[in-house]
Amino acid sequence: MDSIIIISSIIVGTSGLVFAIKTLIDTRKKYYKQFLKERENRRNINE
Amino acid sequence: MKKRKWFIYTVIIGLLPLMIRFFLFLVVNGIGSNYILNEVDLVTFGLILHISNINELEDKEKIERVWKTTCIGFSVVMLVLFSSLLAVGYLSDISKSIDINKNTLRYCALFLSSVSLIISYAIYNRLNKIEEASWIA
Repeated sequence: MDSIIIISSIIVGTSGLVFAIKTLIDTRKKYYKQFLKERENRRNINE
Repeated sequence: MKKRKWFIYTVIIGLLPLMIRFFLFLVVNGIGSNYILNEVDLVTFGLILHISNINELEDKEKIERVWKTTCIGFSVVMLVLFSSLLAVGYLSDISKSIDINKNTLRYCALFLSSVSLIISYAIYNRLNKIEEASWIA
């Protein structure tokens, strides 16, 4: 029983971790342009 | 805004049983440190995170369908696993004849709930960015 719990937890947990990290990296890549745009707008306002 | 709401309404409320246990551990004498990390509380925290993920993603239409389906699918798988762990946890309380190591259950629940927190953060972080992008556009 213990081994079933450990193995299923490791498999699901590791794949979940990979999925979460992939989502975080994708989000950062995808919305980096938006971040640059916001920064430029702020600079323009300050100037 | 979404991320802040998620943190206040979901994470803090989900961690409430653990916080209460920690408070009791500090106040009441003679309680072991094992009392703080209860497997059922950890599993409940994971269940709360994943059900909030599904609830948040269900009515969103302006997001990528593939990503949305993957997130919901993953949350469903995690819900099934957490429910199984909950059943095993309850079973180990009722019957002593079942051969389950409580520590194994506890550490697996701790690992899975930590992973669930990271997944939930990643999802809400993306939804937050999408919301901000729609404001700029």
